[in-house]
Amino acid sequence: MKFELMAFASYSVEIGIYFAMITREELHRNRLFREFDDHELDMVRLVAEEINFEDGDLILVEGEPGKRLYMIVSGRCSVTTQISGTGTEEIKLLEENEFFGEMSLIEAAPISASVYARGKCRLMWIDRKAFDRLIDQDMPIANKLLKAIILAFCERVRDTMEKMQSYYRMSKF
Amino acid sequence: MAPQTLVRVAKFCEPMEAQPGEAIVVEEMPADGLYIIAEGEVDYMKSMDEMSSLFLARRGPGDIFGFTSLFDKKGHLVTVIAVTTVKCLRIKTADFFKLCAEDPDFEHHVLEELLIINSNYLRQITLRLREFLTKMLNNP
Repeated sequence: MKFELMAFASYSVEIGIYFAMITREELHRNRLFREFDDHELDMVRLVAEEINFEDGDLILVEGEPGKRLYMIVSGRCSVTTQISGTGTEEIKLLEENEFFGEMSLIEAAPISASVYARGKCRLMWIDRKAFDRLIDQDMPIANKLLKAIILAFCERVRDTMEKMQSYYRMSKF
Repeated sequence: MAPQTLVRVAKFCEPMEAQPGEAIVVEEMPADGLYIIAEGEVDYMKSMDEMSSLFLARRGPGDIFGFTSLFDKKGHLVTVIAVTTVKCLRIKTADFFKLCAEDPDFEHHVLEELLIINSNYLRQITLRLREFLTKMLNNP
């Protein structure tokens, strides 16, 4: 099973069959795949799907089980959370070439924040099975992908802590 | 992790001990390695302003810290203070990356572990942010 996908992927790439409309360049621009070579990008293209959203469309729902990792090809997405007593607050605006949905795939936990389309959005997604295969079947791909996600996590943790500091300071005035 | 990998890693581990109240890593100081708690408990503290710090989490044996600054090459994100007598192992930054470069199996295992720890950490921090927002927006 382990080598079936690899063999199929290599063969498909060789004969020019792609299941996704996403180009190598578009994938390579995404922060998850900047260290990927052409062959590795093609492996991702085989399992990635494309999807479009209109302004205000709900992409991920807080509290629901996570099934997909999303990558923004174009457009922006708003990450929001429910605040008791006041309603919905935006906690982050994700730009082109960023990604989301990975936390619930990694931890098999419910989605921690809802995500809406801000304007027209073109996204690609990978489901849990494909994500696990990418991680389990090819170590260079897995290590590049894991490093990219960890680096993004580090940035998000710093960003969240900075927000906490500024809210703390504001609450004191 | 394969036994021979563990033997190699052990050679790079530097044992350290900290007494209660002692800071093992200090916020904003440059990354100096990856820390593995062998015994005891530590608190993660984040400064909110010049006068006050916020308690973020308590961690114990088997937990790892120091990884954020190791990866993004910025200063330590939090101050880690020993709550009890703490025994930990440190793999210095240069040794850590040397091990990763020489042993993809080690790198893969560590990355998988750090991914889960980081994801869990981010989830907790996001919850704290939500608590902050709730408090602030409900008590303007």
